[in-house]
Amino acid sequence: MRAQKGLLAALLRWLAGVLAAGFLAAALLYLAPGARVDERELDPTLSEEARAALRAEGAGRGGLLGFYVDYLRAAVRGEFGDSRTYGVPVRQLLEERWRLTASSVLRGWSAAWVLGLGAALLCARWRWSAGPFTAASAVLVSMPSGLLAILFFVLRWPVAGILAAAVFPRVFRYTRNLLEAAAGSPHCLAARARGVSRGRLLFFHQAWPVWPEAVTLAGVTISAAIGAAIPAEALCDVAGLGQLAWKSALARDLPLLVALTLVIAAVTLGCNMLAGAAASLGGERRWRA
Amino acid sequence: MRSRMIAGLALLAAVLPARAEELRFCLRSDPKSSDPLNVGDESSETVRYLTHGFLVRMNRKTLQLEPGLAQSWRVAKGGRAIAFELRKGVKFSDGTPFDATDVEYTLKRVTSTERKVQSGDGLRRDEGAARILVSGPEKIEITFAAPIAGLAYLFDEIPMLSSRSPLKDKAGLGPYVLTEQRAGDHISFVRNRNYWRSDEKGGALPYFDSARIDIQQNREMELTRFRRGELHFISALDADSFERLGAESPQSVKDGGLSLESEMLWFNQVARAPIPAYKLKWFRSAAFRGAVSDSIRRDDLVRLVYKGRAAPGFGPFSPAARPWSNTNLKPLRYDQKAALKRLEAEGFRLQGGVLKDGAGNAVEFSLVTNAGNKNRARMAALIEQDLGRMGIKVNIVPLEMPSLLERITRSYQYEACLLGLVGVDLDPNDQMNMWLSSSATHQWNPSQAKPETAWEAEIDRLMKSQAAEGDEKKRVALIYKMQEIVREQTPLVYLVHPHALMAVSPRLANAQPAAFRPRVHWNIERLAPARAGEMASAR
Repeated sequence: MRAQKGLLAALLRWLAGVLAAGFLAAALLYLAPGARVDERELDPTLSEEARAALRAEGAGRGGLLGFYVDYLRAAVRGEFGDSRTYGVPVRQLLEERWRLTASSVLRGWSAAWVLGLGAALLCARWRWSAGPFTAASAVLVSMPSGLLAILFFVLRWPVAGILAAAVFPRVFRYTRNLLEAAAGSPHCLAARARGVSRGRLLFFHQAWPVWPEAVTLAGVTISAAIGAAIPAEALCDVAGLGQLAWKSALARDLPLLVALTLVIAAVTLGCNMLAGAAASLGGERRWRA
Repeated sequence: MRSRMIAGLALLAAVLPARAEELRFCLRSDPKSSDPLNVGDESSETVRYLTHGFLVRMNRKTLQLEPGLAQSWRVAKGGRAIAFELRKGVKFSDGTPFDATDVEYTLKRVTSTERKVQSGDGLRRDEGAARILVSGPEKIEITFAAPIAGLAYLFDEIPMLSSRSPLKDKAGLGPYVLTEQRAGDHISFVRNRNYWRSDEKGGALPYFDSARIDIQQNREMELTRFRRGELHFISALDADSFERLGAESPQSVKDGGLSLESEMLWFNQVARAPIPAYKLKWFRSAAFRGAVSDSIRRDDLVRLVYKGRAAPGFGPFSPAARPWSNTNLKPLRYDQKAALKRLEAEGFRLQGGVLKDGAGNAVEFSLVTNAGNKNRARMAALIEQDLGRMGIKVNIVPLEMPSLLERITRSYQYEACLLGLVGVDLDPNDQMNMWLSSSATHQWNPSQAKPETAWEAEIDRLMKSQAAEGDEKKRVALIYKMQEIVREQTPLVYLVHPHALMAVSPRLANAQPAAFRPRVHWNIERLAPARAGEMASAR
């Protein structure tokens, strides 16, 4: 019963977060200068009737709250309106592109974890190996995702690589700190004093106890990977959701940007929620143990 | 035996046009319209160019009309009527036959005043409806209520639609058929098997079996892809990219000469604009605008910003727009003394290096332009420097395009604006909406209920008169007069007319890059993959 209540509360928090993110995106775009203007209005070959129709289209959106409520009503039915930039239903754009972004994010995130965690474990086992990984991590963390995107595009490397490069430093630094902190804890000192082998000490006494924190980090890094996908796809011109988000923001494409915000917020908040739940479950078990 | 086979294959390759490769190029944005009669943007125009057929087509190199679906035509009754004789045996992409009833169907839609379409703007007359007479499967005559200037040229923009095809407007008479469109990504086409045109040897056109247009907003990425050999051409390059690419591969870059484009600045003259009254008074003064124009070193703009690949601003019609460009007018030259003289006559005076108006207000204004355009940013910086010498302070404000548009079309919260005009059509009617004082694109003071100044009323009259004039010489005279007024009043300060800069891969044969849009693919059906020998000679 208690668990069910907790789950319901978490779901409500998730839903409120998603709706708030969507509303915030709508409000920001609604208030942004140029939100109701269409670039085609400047075309001198356009007839006055066509220009008036474009103006009416821009002006006919009504108030912000009314727009958002109507939008959510339609969204429940799976309709997100038509994109102003692309002239096609937003739903079609999302359906065409989500796989590409999901695949890039998943591959980039997985690669970052394999490399980041692997490097952290190596550093914990052989301290002398920390230098190159720390330097690489420092370089990558100080490099904007946009610059990485240009580099990868020129070298014809995949977008997943950019995401891996963006997430790797966070994984490496945080997990390394966790392992180092664990190495100094009393149970590790006791195990070492008892002559437990280095490998066993690393995997069972240092790494295993910190998995709840690592799971929380996993949730956070998914958000980071999704965030990095936006400039990466836009600059590498990859037709995914990231490119769509970038262009819709620049073009003040309200229906598209709100839909994207809802989708991205749902995924990132969902991942964080799951990671948080797993971590708290792990924490409880650890305490019980 | 083996050597004979190789020789035979080589001969076959030389005789037959190379096929099977896909033509690839980029567009900056997605087509905004899928209705072939309502096309207002370059991307939609390109798609229509590939998929639809026209009665006549303008050769972008010679600027002469050439037969299209009509094998001949005749303009009569002083520009009030036009008769076409159509080709026989032409079929739409789905196999539906094409004849005069399809032309009648299309023209009825185009000239309808109930559901107005963009393609028919030039053909719709207030004086009355057009009369269409079909006198045979290949013969049709259209008579208008009043003469229409440049009548035959208007048919270069009207795609012929089928009155009987089950595919309706999707059945086309162009060289390609659209097969796939993914918004923001690409558009794919395959060769129209029923395409009516063939080459001089009777071979089927187009030469490329398929075409793919990628949507690529970023110009640098487009250039990188061209360098990698992923694209066959780039229709518009900026001077920097042109120079860079030219240094690496001189045979790839093409300077088509002066284009119809103009870069210009204008002052906000809208009476209700939220700007101080004394500034509005400056901006409404022809002497002030003229003095600003005289103070700009256009040669520097050409040399430093466009690397010499532009001409100093001249007027509404670039010198390339013959016969419309008024060659009797003197070129605009930098003349600081003349500028100061004009300003002093208006009560301005230069005090301690600062220009002040009669009331003692220091002359200072903000200049908005779109952020992210390197050329405009550089031009703005040079203008700031030039006007600084006159004691005028300019504050450059780069804005994102939507914000800029809101300011110049809605709130009028700006003082001066630097933007460009992309001329698509040579005919002066292409600029009609910009010059009519009632129009929303009369940028310096749009949507006037009635002309606020005598010179704007005169420009209105001249533009309307030329549009209804069938005699080209008389039209030219009216347009010349209009340019004289524009020069005198300087509502728009013309800065430069850039060259049409393009890149064409040596892998592409038969390209004839032109200054007028569409610059490279205007003869798309004849573009072909270059054979190895041609590529080597191109290098």
